[in-house]
Amino acid sequence: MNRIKFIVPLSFLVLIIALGLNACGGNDQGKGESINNGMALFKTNCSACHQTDGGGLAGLYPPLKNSDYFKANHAKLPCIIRNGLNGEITVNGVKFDQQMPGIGSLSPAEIADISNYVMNNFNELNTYTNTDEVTKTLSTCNN
Amino acid sequence: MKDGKSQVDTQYFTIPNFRFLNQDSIWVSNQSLKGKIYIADFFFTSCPTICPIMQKNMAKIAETYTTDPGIYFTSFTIDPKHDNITRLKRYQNQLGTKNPHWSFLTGNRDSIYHLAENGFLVTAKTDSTAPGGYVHSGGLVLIDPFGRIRGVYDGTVDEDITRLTEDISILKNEK
Repeated sequence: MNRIKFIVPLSFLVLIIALGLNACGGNDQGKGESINNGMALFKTNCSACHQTDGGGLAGLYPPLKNSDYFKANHAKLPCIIRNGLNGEITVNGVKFDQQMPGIGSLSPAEIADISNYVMNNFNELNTYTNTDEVTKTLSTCNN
Repeated sequence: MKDGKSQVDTQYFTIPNFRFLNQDSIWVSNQSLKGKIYIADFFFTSCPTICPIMQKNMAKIAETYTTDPGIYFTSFTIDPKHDNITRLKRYQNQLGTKNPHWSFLTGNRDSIYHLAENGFLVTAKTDSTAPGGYVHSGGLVLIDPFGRIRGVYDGTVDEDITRLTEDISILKNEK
């Protein structure tokens, strides 16, 4: 009986610790998975214009890689992906004014994946956004 | 049949008459292109899907022949309502091509569509369900100095671009 009294709380403690560790590892795993998904989604939906390496195309389509505009506006990324972008912008000193079409068919989860891929792979921002955050951002878009 | 033996004959397809204005307000026609080898495609400036890749590949080839007036490039817009001369000129500048022998052509929409499908044998039409509102072929068409189609290539496929580049060289050396 004393052993059970000892083992049950110990087991419970081990379980809590295990869940905690898994949560920490789970976030990293979640981020990695999101970035991987984002790479495939980026290739399908974005690379035609922004190119596979995120370098953009001449004065037509702006780079996402090492982009000063992107770094300053990355919080708006979900709205830009969903609704597109109109008007002239300046990226790394170069003006761009081609209209970017939005992709209304992408879900908040997919937009989160693309955002994580672009932020981490092209700009080393080392940030992470999730579906809930993207859903919240999309409800406040003004473009 | 020749001397009692069957032989394969080649009947080239000739591009029909056309005349459109380019980004510099200059008329370009099948007549003005006689004597030149040219590569033609159909695109529109706000195209979000295949056009960026096609035009990037066209630009790569055009760069090779910047100083060769015998090799010409024609990009016909399938959205002439929006792609007027001003917009095409801006597109040319933004694409950054230095090749002066590349015309971005606009004109009557039905005439362009008819030329695409019946002249250059590529698809071009409006489609409200397609991204950008148009469905069109990513084909690059190689025309010889006599106005005849000599090859059709997928402008989005690297192997086809390589093949097109090789065929331009072959055509240049053809007597």
